[in-house]
Amino acid sequence: MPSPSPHQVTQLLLDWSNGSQAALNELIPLVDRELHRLAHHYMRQERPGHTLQTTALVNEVYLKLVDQKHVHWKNRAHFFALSAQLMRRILVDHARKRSYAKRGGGANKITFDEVMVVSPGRGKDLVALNDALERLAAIDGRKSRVVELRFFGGLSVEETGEVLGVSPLTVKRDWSMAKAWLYNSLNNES
Amino acid sequence: MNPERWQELEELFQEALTQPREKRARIVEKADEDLRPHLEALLAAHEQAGTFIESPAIDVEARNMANQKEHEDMIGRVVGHYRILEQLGAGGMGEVYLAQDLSLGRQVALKFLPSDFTSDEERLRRFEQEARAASSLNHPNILTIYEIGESDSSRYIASEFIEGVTLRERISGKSINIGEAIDIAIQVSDALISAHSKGIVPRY
Repeated sequence: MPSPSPHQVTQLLLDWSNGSQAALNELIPLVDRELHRLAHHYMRQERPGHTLQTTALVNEVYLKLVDQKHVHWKNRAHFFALSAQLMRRILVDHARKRSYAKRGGGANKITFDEVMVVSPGRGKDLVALNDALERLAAIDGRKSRVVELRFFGGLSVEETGEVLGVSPLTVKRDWSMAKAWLYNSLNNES
Repeated sequence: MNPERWQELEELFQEALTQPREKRARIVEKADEDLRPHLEALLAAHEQAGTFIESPAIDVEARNMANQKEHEDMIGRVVGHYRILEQLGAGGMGEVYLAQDLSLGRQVALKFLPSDFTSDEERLRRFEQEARAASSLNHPNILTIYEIGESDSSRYIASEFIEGVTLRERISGKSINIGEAIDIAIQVSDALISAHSKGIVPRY
């Protein structure tokens, strides 16, 4: 299947935002394909230390999926916001389907070190993060959007500020508070 | 939390971040009793969060997929005299599998130490020391350690396999009655006394 052009992806995004399920069904395999490509890359890469390379790869993936640099829209902000929402939707669904941690079991005796305590890998899980993000949205909508745009949408601080109509400094402050709140919510509250 | 309180919390949080770590306590003191635990939790989380959500979600998901594939590839493999049956979960340090002891036939929990851990000799030494200490204990409320093993480049620890939920999971969200709470506390204390009697003090 040939990849759709950036123009087609843009149109699909628009259609999806207008409620087209068909458009979403065309976008999902695009993200899936890139996910598998990235995952494959990580599997082959046994040793750590190639971070530069993978960062470039992730950037490339984002460029392919949501070709921000080539969008000639009058409303860039709208496009960014849509892309981030789409990525969130697809990635969280993907994580949910992966049925990570089939059992939630763990040791129920006192152990001497965290070494021996078993629990499903929380915090790394996009599903749990998504739930926490929804709780954050109820308290502070803008902070939740900052996380959606940066973490799910892969936007820079400046682009995030552009979408939300706030300064980069505000984005940074929102980000630090949201990050701490989410981390605490995922790791310390049950 | 209402918007005014949230706003107040954020202002204190941001103000604390402008200060060096050792001076943050002064900001925390400015928070009233209700707000203080929230502020303390946020500041602690800020210190611990590290690279959390700093790489894009697609990267996180791709890495999780790669990890899952690696774990799935472990199923059925024989490590030492254990056959790996299924993954149980991920702990604070390393992956845990349910495995079959091929010589004794019993099921065990097999925990692999992560590679960054095994390459650190000091941590490894401390770990083995703790495992030895723990294995010297014989108590129904203390996990029994069977063996510390090495296979190829990986280190693992074989222990008793216990099914159930952690205490944290048991008490989260639902209340437990006083009888059960006392029962749990007695069992915990009993295990601690047994450990203390051998000169072992858990760090928390």
